Amino acid sequence: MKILVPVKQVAVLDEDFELRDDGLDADPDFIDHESNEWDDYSYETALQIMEAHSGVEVVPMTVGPEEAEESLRRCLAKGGERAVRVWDDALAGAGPATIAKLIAAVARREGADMVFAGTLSADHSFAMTGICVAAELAWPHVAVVTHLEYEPGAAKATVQRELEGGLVEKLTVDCPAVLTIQLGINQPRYASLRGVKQAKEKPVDELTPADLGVSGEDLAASACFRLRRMFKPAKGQAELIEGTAAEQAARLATIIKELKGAA
Amino acid sequence: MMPVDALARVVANAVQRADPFLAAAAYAAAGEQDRGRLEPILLASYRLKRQFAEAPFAPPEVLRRLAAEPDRKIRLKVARHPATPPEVLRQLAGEGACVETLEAVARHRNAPTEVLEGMPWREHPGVRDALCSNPRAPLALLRALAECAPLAALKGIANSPNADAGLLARLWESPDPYLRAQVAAHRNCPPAIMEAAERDPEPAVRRMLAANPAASMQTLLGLLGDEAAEVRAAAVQGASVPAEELSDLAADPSSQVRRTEARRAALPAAVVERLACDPDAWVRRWLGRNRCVQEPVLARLAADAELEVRRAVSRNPGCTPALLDRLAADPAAWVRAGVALRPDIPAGALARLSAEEDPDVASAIGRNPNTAREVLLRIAASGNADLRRAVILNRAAPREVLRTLMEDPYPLNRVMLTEHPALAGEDLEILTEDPDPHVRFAALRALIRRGRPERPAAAADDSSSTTNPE
Amino acid sequence: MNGILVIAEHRRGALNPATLEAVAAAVDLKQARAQPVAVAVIARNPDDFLAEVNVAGVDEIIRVAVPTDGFQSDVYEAAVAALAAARQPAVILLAHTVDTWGYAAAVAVRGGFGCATDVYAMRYEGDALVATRAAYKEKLGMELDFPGRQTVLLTLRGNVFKPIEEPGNAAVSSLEAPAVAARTTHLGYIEPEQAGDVDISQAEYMLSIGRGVGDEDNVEQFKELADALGFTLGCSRPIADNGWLPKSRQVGQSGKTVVNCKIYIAIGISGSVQHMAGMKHVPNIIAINKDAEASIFSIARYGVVGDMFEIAKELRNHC
Repeated sequence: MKILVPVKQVAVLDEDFELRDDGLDADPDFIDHESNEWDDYSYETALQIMEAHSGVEVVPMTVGPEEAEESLRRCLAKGGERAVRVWDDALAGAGPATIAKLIAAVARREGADMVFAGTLSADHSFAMTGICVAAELAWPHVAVVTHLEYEPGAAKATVQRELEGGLVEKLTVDCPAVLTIQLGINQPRYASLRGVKQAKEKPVDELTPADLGVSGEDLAASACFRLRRMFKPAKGQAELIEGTAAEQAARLATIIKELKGAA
Repeated sequence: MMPVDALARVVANAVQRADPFLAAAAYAAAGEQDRGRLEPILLASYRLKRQFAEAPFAPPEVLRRLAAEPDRKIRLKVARHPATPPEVLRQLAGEGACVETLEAVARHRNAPTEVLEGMPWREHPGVRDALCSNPRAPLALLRALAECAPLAALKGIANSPNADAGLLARLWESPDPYLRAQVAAHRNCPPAIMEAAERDPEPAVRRMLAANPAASMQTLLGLLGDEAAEVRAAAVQGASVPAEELSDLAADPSSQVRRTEARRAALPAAVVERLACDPDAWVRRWLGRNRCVQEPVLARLAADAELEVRRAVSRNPGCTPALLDRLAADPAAWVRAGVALRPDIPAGALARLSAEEDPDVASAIGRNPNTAREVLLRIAASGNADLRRAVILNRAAPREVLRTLMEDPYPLNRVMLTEHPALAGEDLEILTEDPDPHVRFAALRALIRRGRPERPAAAADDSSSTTNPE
Repeated sequence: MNGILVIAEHRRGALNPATLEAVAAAVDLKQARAQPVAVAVIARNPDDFLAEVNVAGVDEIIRVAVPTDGFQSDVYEAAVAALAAARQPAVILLAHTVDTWGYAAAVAVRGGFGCATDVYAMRYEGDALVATRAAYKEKLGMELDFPGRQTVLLTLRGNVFKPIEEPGNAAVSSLEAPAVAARTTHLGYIEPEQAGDVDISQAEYMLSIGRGVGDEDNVEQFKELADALGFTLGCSRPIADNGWLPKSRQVGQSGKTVVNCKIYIAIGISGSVQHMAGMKHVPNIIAINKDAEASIFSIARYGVVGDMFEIAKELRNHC
């Protein structure tokens, strides 16, 4: 029984960022990288199942360049014995449907029984990748999962998904399935120092799309949009409330009232 | 300074490992030659320079070096950094500075007075407005600024501790009620304006006047009869309000007035009695914390039906050991946690509460300087990162307990551990090898601080912590 | 390929008002380029929603009767695929909601459609549809087009397109939904818990204090303010570490994430990574801090630079 957990190293923009000369992204000097927060929760979900049952393997994977290996090591430091990284320089700037095609190919190659993805990534927030993986695999899927009851090997899993306004839907889903995991489903752990050391020795399989039988044409055909340009939006950052404390408080009181009315 | 050979080892280690975080920590203590070796690591990429220029933990020496960078955005970040020292700000505001940098220096609390005075504020409205809100701007500058500053910036001037009676009198002429209210709240507000403010039609002006610590007893007496409850509530805090007035206010129809009264110092016994029976729980809650409240009222409040009132009593410094013993058996964990936090906790209560598992109680016990070593060891082995951190924050925790936390899985806990005075130098050296860069940085900073004989207390002062995020 | 197809969304007998925003966006797009607008209602009883979606500018309402009441991803995917096959629309518009997160991308992949989510503006450049959405937490916008795609499916950001109130006179038609063996089974709904006083992860309105509060007794002032405003009090780590507020009120890493929060007032919180991890997603963040450079302002919608005690005291007078 194997759970595949696709993770992403996301980009965080500095406040004073500049655009790249081609206008298609921010200048890399102003980009920091970190592991996607949602993936901490999806990985924890998988680890908890692994620890509660015997014979469960958890494999973290990513589609990303060499630097993205850090996100995989971070996962391996918490648990799991090996990881998979897929990359080719032609994938720079690839969108969610393309990434999903590769994740699905890894899921097939690994013989995964379940795929747990983060609901979305903190940088571009398409909230598409996991569901695209399900479409590629033709698997059932549930998005925004906030609770999971699953026995490895069972024909169905019982999940809850969180809807607007805090309402929760309880449903079952046939397995194998792709679930996109929401923040708060659990309390993700921190890796122990020993885990961090051990993770350095664990193998990370490096694959190209070609290794997965995905051709350059397949990749090009999978792109569900083309990025024309990025731009700094007109609306500024925070609206600064000025004046004396009394004046600021009066304005705040109005804002709070308006926001409460709208919420 | 730390011993030369130890420092050399630290620098060599940072260089050998090409570790920018160790380099940043070592840079602060290093001499000219060593700095030359550390700089290529510290300044290896634009990204690193940017990260250090905005890192809350960046040492002033590193900021000084970054201020010499040719890149405008890096210099701007240094000008905005709260830890940037005065002479670096002077340098940044010098020839060729961009407007954003000038604005940042004009706003900066560390900017030297003469730098503020020399700023080209007539040319740049942003610089002018930033100066108006800088509490270090001197009176002469404020006067000049007031000549041409817009209304929003005038409010900054009215808030400046350096504004004098003459300047305030000029600002009082404004039709804007908020500006006038700010003038009425100023310690240097002249008596004639206070008198006028007392009769001002705007409640905000009267309220701010009532909150002015320089307001006379006469003024306060007038405002205590104000029709607006918020004005009476502000006035009741005045130190010079006489006792007989206070007893009338204890029956004020506005709970806001009674709540505020319950907070003030030097309440007469009769007023305390009356407020202790107030139907509004917040009145009793404030009273429970009030240092002028004593037995038997405190004991009555300790039996209040509202748990937050009992919690307030548990935090009152005047609480007797007998009362603490009683509160240590309170059904609400939050009340017991209040007792567990006290350095003067009676031995019996400490023993009982030491066995508790409630996280708030256990955390308070973990921080308590009287807690037994075995109890600390148990809490330090907890699966809850917050509880383990309580032990790390306990200044009385012995080294053998702290050593069990050197591999705490939560990196922030290890960062905070480096600040514990009981940790030995060799422990800190081990932490400079930590996988987390912030832990390595903090450990080396702590080692270097210890090497400085002139600042031995730095490690014991919680507020001096530079690596401690919220 | 011609026309715009809007998929209506509903739950427990009520139309999701975001549907009407998507309809408005479709009518906008129709102005830019003349093409019919159709709204599809996929429901057990589509007739229940016909009147509500029949607003000015809608040309056709398509009833798609299905055997289930609520959202069901396999049923919706099959129905939208059938609608696309039957009507061959150039554009399919949906609201960006939890339901569409669960199936829109799958429809696009399987249909070979162009696709983008959380779109807040659309226009035509020549024949090319251009969609605009945000990136990097709103710090940048991105413009996308869809070369070579016959059909483009977009999910639309809420509270951007203004619903049309004027009633319309759309033609009503029906389409048979394909039979599918749904691979998920609805078991029921769980009502949201009452925004509890202590469970801050459920609170809608939060007022949180940080290190700037300085002293334990000062905490009470903010608790009183929070009570008066009808907000739940939270805190950053140092306040809980000091034992000044219960651990259950701590927001952030090692504390709680304020999942349901709509308005978050951060007072005297500088904005460490650890704290922001628990609240940066909140749509309306109001930050009050004496330091204009505090990082909390980088994620705030409203910023107040000033004395937190003065502002809190003054704010109290407005409750």
